[in-house]
Amino acid sequence: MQVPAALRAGEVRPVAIGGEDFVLWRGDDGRLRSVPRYCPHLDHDLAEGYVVDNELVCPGHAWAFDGDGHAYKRNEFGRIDPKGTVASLAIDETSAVADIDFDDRARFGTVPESMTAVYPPDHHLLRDLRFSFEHDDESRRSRAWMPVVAELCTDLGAARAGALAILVDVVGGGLAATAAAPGWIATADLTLHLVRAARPGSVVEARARVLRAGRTTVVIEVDLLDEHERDVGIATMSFAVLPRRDSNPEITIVRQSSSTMALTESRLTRPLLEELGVEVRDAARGEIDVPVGEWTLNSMGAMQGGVVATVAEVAAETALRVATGEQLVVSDLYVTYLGFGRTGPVRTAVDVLATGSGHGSARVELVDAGAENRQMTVVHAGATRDLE
Amino acid sequence: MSNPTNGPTNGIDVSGNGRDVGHYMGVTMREVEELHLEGRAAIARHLLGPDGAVRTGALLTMVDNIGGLNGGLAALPDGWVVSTNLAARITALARIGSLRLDSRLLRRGRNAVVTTVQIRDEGANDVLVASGVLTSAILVPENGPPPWTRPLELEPPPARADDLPAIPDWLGIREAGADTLEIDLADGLRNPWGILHGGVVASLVDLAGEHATGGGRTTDVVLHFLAPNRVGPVRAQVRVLGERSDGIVLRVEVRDIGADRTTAVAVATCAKSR
Repeated sequence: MQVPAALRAGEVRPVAIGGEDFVLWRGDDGRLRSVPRYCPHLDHDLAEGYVVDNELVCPGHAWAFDGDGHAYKRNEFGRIDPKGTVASLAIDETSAVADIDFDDRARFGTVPESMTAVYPPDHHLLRDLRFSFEHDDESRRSRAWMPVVAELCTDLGAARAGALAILVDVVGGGLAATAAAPGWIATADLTLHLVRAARPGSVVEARARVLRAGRTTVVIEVDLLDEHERDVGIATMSFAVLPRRDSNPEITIVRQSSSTMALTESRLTRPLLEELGVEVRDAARGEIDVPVGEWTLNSMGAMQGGVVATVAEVAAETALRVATGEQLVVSDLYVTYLGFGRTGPVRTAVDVLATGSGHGSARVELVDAGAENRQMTVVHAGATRDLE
Repeated sequence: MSNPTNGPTNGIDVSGNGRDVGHYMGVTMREVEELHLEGRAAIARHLLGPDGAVRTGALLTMVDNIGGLNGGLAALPDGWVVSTNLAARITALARIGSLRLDSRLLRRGRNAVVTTVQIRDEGANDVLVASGVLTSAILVPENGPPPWTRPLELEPPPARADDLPAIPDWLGIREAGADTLEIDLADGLRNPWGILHGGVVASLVDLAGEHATGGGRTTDVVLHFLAPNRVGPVRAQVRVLGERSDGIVLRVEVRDIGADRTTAVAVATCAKSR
């Protein structure tokens, strides 16, 4: 294979070699370098990476690659953490073209076992919901997009509040983590108010910004918009700022990045509630069970916060439909997180607070039934007729 | 009766600032068991809105009062609290009274306390009128938190409720645009930390929603306190997000104009006026 020498310093280009995907880039020193195309950390596409000096930096979490088979992580204070070795190609450049020795495996490195146990795994909701992200650290804003598919919708054909809560949780949590760095965060609460239905075939955009980044708390606001810039809803999240522990995921602040966790084959193949394994035990009481499985885990090994909101949504919707005899859908959620759901099943109980013509409200309590009914979450939910 | 000692305690003034708001609301409170408070309030005329029911702002202030006190007790012995999030759903109109308040501790963390509050109308078959959650940040006052005798019991305020002005007049509300209301930061509206009382901010949000929707009643509020209001005037500006079968959804931004900063953001639903 020949690579045009016209690849300029700072340029990045994907190539397929012997059935394997690589990217090439030219450093400031003029030398052509290579690395496998997908980051060994979280599979971000390094073809979307950027060159700093002579290194290629991943757009996802800023792992850096020197092209000689080494991966690093530099934090904002300059600390460098080696991240093992990766493959590289033997490249022999001439004045006109670059020749790559495909058979030179001597320089192919290995990916440490710890790096292959990546989060999220290949089959995970953060991949299957096909979110894409953009982050701009200078303005302390992040954006994310979620394609609305039928599997994410209620029986009335609009995206579930819970599905949108998952989107909010992911984009808001990511932004809060950068705002709290070098500290770590724990989600305290999430609120969501919907005003417009998001139908299958549309894309919902979540625009998150930091309202407050204090010593002990971070508050994020998220606008949800459709493709016509119309309000779909608004969400807020609060986070407690905690001291960093070694077990916390690493966050490196990058000025600008765009990414997705979706793999080529990632998609929902059945309705969200089916995928979650929702089992209704008593509809009138809003008692449902949901297992804690790998598909829904967050990076801390507990049920993801947006999924917790989804479970509460389903419980409230179920009980309010029985109480009112109307096909109500949940339009508001106020989720107060009290503890993790790690064991499962997560079990709900609903107290219907009020009902009226075309609306109702409920209080939902979630416990981890497998952990001696440990209290996980308290949720206030409001439901209305189908949104416009 | 157990009351805090008189005078400021270096950062917290539990006998001066904050008492005016407590007296205006007329809430009495007692600790029925550890970190479980009960309160009562008569439905006084000055708390009523145009529809003859207790204004949502007053109910939110009660949530902030009893939930905040419960959170403060949970933060002892070293800390006291300041409200950071207040959320409540109004589930029925409160017209008869007395109101019965119930606050329990949900969680006491290292930096924050979460309490839940329910308010019922005893004269209307104890119907639930509000259900809320208050999150408070734990702060450590320089000279320690206010001293309380436990179990806590707060005596009824002086019986002068009939003389009190209605909430808009008490706050000194003035219009600053079709979607904006404004108040001055009067001393009587401050909390024990010397900043605008969280319940007053909630009342301002409630009135701003009512103003922007032409008389709508606030049925649901999520309010994030982002920074203290210290200078004033304090302005609440409304943006309408959309309309649903249960009302109009609004975003309300509160700013301390004198300090040139956003101090609170709320999302509220206002039932349409009839």
